[in-house]
Amino acid sequence: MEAVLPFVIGVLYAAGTFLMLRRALARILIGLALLTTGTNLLVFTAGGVIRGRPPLIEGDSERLTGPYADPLPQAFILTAIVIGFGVLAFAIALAYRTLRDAGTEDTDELTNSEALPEERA
Amino acid sequence: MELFALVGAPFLVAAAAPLIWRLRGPLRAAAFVAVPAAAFAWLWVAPSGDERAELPWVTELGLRLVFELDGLSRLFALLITGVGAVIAAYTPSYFGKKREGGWFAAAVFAFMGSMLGAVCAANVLTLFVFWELTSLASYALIGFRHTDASARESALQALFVTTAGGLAMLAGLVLWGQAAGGYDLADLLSFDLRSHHRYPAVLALVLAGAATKSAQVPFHFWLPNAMAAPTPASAYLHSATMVKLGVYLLARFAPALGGTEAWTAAVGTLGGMTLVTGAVLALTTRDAKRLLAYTTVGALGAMLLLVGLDTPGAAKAAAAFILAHALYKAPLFLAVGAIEHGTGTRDLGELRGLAGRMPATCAVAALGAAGMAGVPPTIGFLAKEAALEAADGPFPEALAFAALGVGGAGFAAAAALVGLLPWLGRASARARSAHEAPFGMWAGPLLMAAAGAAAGLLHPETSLRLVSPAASAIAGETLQAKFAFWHGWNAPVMATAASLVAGAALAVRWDALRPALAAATAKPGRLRPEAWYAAALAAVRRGATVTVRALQHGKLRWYIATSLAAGLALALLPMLRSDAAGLSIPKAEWRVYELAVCALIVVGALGAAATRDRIFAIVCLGAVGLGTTLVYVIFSAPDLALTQLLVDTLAVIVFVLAYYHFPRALPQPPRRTILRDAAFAAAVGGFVTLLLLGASAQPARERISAVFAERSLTEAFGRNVVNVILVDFRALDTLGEIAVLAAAGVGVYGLLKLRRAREEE
Repeated sequence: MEAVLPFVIGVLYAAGTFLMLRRALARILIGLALLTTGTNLLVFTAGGVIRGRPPLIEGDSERLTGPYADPLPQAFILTAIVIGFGVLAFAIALAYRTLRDAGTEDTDELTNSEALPEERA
Repeated sequence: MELFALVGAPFLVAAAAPLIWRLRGPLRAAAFVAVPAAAFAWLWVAPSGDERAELPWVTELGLRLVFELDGLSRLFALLITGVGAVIAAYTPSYFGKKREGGWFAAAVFAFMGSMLGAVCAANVLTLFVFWELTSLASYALIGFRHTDASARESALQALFVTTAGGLAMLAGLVLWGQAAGGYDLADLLSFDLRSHHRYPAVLALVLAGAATKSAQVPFHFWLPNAMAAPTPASAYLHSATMVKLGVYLLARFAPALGGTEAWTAAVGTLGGMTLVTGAVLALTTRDAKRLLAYTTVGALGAMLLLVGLDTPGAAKAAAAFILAHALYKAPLFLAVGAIEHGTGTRDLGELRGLAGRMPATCAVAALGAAGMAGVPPTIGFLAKEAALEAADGPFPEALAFAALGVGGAGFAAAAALVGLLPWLGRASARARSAHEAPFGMWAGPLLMAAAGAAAGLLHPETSLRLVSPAASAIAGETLQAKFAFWHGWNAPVMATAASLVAGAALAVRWDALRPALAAATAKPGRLRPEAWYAAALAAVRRGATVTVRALQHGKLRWYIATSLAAGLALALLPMLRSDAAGLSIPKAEWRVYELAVCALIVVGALGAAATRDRIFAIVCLGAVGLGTTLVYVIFSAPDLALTQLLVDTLAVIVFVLAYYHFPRALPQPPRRTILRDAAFAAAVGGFVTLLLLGASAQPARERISAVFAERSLTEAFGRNVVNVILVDFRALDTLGEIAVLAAAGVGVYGLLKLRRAREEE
């Protein structure tokens, strides 16, 4: 499966990029979520992967011994997953608010950043 | 140490200038004059040995501030501080009670410091920095009347022309410094550049810098336009000092760059053409200030011509002429300023019979004009004789001789137009209401103009103290310059006499000649260098408009595409160029359920991208999240799996809640757009895949996690190493993460709640 993961991640990036290039905010956000997941997997894979050796210290041992999964990328990715969700939630709220105020989710129409809501109509 | 004080003190005065300006009466002038006068006195008595001062600046880049004072530097420094002292005394009277005078003085003193730094620099990078500082000061002074659009335009023109040349010069100096292995003047001058293959490029680039700064053809147009500056600035920057920097540069480099046919041909031709152009154009304008500006252009051409001739005699003439020109041209400018002050005009056609009304200014103008025309006993006469003597020979000197003769006639005519005609005859309407300028506006200029005559009369002393040391630096060998008022009936004397007669004739017939001369020199638009400048500027503006239109199109998705494409290009280049081990597909164990997980992610991602149904897209996103969770499970990351599962569940819920309110899908874009975007997306995905395959081809690195594996239990008392890293070893990161989450939470709350508050209104 290690051999396939780079291609899987490539597909995630391609799908995410394609969605980011859409006009509708709703699809752009899905693309953002895919890119976030893809990036986490990218870091995970680039750090090297191993089966069945989680970085947990056994009951009678004082330290990690033998081959083990690298804990550092995992710690980074854990942070990244949580922050990624925070960003996504904020983006969704922003899109929702934009839709309510501007009446459209079409980014091609969301070009007049200076105008007040009542002027946009 | 003294040299740092010399360069630094004017900057300190500049900083304090607006405060000094509040002083009353003579105290104000005295406070301004003090520093340049003290500097002048120190330079006058300074030991003739070469002073040197050094200060590390950016040591990592080998940048140092190095100053040295040799004969050439000293001559220039004396001119800068001497003329500077006169300007400092003149400025308070010129501006009177106007507040803006303080800012003007600040700019003038900043210029004085920059100029001193430039001529004392013994490192070409130091030289470049101060060189550009003088351009900035000149910009501020030309555009000083900033409410006047044409003044702003002239300031910008001068800045663009001189800094473009400055950049070319920098390129040339870097090429030279790289070849010589150092940027100190000593490194550059001792390196044998003439036989190096970079010589033509360095010569051309340095020449470009000198030609723009010293207003040589075809860059001469900026100098007359620079007359928008207040008169003291015109006298100081645009005649006596700054514009001579180009001459200084070439004189400084003459020992290393000169001595070739290319040097003589390029520098000599440039100077000769400029000399004739300036002398002729001077006679086409009635504005006294522009007239003087054109003669300055011509004089700068003469200096370049002499530097280009590259003989000991020419070096002596160049040094003498640099001195003479400053001593007659600055007083003439200041006299014109006084005339404008007293009569309200500087139109030569309206000025007649002023002598009785403004006797002191008349004396200044007459003495200055004597220097410009080259009448004995001024130093101007001696310099002109020396120049003609240096050019007295067969081709190519004969050409220079002719150019100097024509230029001499032009200068003599211009001298008569400014120094004689406005003062003689019956008083014109303007002259009848004229009044003499205040003491501060004529005392300094008179002193300077008188110094021009004294320097001629006391020529052995002048030569010993000023001209010979400077000429030695230009020629690169020790010279003893000798001057004499009478050499017998030789060619230079005949030429001088002839040019004086011709000049007088031109001046007498000027009213009739001027329109014809103006018409003859008015070139069609395309041939005017100023039109080239305008065209270049317009091209830059068009290019900027096209670029901005292409990049700032206001469409989000194109911004994303542009950014991604630029990032991709930047990342791909080093990847293609690196000689890394290439790509490798990792050794693989194949298990059916693992492939099923991969298939789940791939199908989910493609489904999310392909569908236009929002709810189905969210379902696909959920599938991708589930597959990712399973990848983390398979590859020994239980914490990641738990978190991913939780977050993905939440994400799906939030998406569904939000998208419930979203309108139906937008209309489908044309098929072509979809294919184009898909191709671009595939390129991005392919790049990521290549990146990963390349990464796995790299040899295994030593892991820094060993420390965590070792100490997790013994020092932090935790068996789950990932958790220990997060809450102990890198707890500060986690605190930051929590802060980001809290900010996002507040943001979401605000976005949802504020809407309600407004709707209630």
